[in-house]
Amino acid sequence: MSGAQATRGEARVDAGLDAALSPVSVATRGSSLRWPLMVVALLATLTTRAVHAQPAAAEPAEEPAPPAATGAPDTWGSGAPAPAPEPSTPPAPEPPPAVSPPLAAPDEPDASAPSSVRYTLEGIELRGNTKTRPRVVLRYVPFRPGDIIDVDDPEVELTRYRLLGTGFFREVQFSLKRGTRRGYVVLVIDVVERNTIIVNDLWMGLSADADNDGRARPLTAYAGVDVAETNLAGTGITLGTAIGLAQDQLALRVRFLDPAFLGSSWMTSGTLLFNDARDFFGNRDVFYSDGGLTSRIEDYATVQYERFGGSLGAGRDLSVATQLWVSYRLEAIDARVPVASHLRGLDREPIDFHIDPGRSVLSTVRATLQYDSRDHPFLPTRGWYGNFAAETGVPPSGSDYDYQRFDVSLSRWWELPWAHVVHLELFGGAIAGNAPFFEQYYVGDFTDFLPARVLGLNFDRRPPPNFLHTDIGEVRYGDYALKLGGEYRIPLYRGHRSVYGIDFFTSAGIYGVASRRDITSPPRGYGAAARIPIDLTANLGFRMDTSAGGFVFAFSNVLGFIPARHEAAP
Amino acid sequence: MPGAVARLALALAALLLVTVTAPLVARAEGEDDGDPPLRAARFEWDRARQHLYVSLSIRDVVDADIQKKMRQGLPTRIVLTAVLFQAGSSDPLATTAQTCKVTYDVWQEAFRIELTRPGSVRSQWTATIEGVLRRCADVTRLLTGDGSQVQAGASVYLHAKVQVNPVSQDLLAKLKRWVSRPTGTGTAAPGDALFSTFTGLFLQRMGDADRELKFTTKTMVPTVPPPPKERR
Repeated sequence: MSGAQATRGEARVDAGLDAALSPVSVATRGSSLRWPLMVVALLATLTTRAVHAQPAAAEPAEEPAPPAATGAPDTWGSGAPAPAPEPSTPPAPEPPPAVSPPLAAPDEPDASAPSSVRYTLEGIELRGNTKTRPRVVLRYVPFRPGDIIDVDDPEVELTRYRLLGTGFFREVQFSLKRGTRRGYVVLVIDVVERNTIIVNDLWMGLSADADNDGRARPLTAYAGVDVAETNLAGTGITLGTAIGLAQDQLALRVRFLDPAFLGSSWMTSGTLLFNDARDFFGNRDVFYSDGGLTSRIEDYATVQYERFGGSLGAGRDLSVATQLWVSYRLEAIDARVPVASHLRGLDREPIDFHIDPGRSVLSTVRATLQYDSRDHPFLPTRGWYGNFAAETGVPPSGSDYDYQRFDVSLSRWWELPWAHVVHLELFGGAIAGNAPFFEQYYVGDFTDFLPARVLGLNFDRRPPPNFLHTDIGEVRYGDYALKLGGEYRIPLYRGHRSVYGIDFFTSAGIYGVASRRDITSPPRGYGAAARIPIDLTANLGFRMDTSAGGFVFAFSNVLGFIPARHEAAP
Repeated sequence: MPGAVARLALALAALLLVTVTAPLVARAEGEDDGDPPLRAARFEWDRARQHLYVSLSIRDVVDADIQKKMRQGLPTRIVLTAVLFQAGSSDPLATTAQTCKVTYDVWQEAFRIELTRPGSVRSQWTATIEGVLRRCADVTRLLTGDGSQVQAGASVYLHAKVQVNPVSQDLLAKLKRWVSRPTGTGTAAPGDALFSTFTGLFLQRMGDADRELKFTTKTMVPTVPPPPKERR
């Protein structure tokens, strides 16, 4: 399936290329220039097709070209169109013709030799796939029987990389063998399958939470793991499961991804989620009330809740860098919500837990548009990553939560001349309506000094550090969020074995999270500037890209325990 | 609280240990096996002392696997790039390169060789691997400098790199762009927990070349051929 026209080698002089290929004087000093110079020479060599007499170079004589087979397809690039393949009729077998080997001597330059070799593709033979189904492999191969295949077509090598990129194979090799008719070939694809059960993610950390009665506890540990079979029964479908564990909290998730639904260009995905979780509310002096009969003051108000549901989605590529997903989600929620009040600013107010007590239903539709031109997903050095998501509750389908959420994120990476990397990111989001608290913006997702949520679980009861002494300490969940951040990365190691790259990074940012009430009726006791709920965040550590996945070893989680925070108090 | 402080200190110590040792382990994993021995090469001027040529062998880059690959009908490229130096100096004098593209025609049962050198492209045919090696791996009289760059009588040497099927920078960039979003081709999406593992696996297969060899030649004062004998 090559559109490339075979061209004959022709003698012509190209002064520019000739100069590029000639030995060059190097005025610049320093041995560090050696390999860049060689790369330039290599590129020039790879791109040139000029023919020029080499000065005074005594070459051994060459062999003449072997005779082209008469009546064969355009194997030799004569310029004549190749004969159309016979539809649905396999070529009749015939004995291989006697091939005249090229003469051994005397060698002569072959000025008329074609610049490429082309055949008609008779078929594709797949070898070595004990588990992966042939249709899964052939999905990535753009060649079909009857196509004219040019051995120089870069699509051949790209196809090999596509197959390696599936993660299903340890080795992929292409070769050609004779077909049953002269000029026809069979494309042989040899693969060596690999283990496709992989650990995708691993979470471990320390947090500070509270018990069911709202009493603050010292440090507790949390952990989680995400494992997936990425080539389920050789179908190319991913089936994964994940578990998250913390004190009195559990999250389970099962999901699948079919990259080619019924062999089409549509992708489908599905998720099942179960959470037996809790969350911690209240700023100070939380006052529990039990119908007026009993009351007590605790550190926090704890909500215990269960979520069970799932989502179904479909997506497809809109362009090389753009992708669209649409998904529907349905969840049943059962929440035990206390009646409590707390001090917000200088005033005691009832706590709004942003969830319906007892059983409720969440039903939403979500659309995501994604643009990605990064050169690497985990340690990018250049490119853009943009994401726009819109989600709306669907009350007609039984949802008790009617809200709309819009998220926009944009990231850009630059590689500096000294190979360090700068990254800037911007996030903005807004929610209108009554979203449940676990769908709202959580401060721990924006500050590096608190654990972010894992599989929907929130591990930590603490407010953010509040370096700027604003009323951010009064905010846990919000309807609006904004973050501007930057990161500086220093590559420490690059490899091709089990560890592909290690970078040291340091990052900093400013963020704000606010509910509608924080804007319309900010807590009393704060000055004008302090009524803007913003704070700073920072992090440093190492990013490692390995054969087992990408890992981040960061210090901010630990630094967050240093008692330097300015607790919420006007 | 003392227990909590002890746990915090332990966690901090573990984190520090991991972050400090990980780069060291990785660096040890990627260490080279040492510099290869100096390679023999012959430098010679033409009679007019205008052009400097080098002759050397790179047959060791074409091992059994590469030879087998050559017979598989798809092109194999052997690329030599080199920088010329004067002995005792690390300042480059000149660069040179040679590319040999070998394509086995499965019907003609012959290798088509396209040899690209400074200023020329030549196409040849051969029936045997030995013929391929003779043309591609026995580098004969490769133009590597001229009289304006190399002082007469100076001792010179080459730093060279040989790559089999090098991945061009354009292709590499295309692959990296593609790998950054492989969802359309069957793997996980960016931002997905699966994603990094997939790309790591993929990038592991994306070396710069199928095989690579770097070497330095022995230093030598280029020879000058004797003048032709005059006929009486």
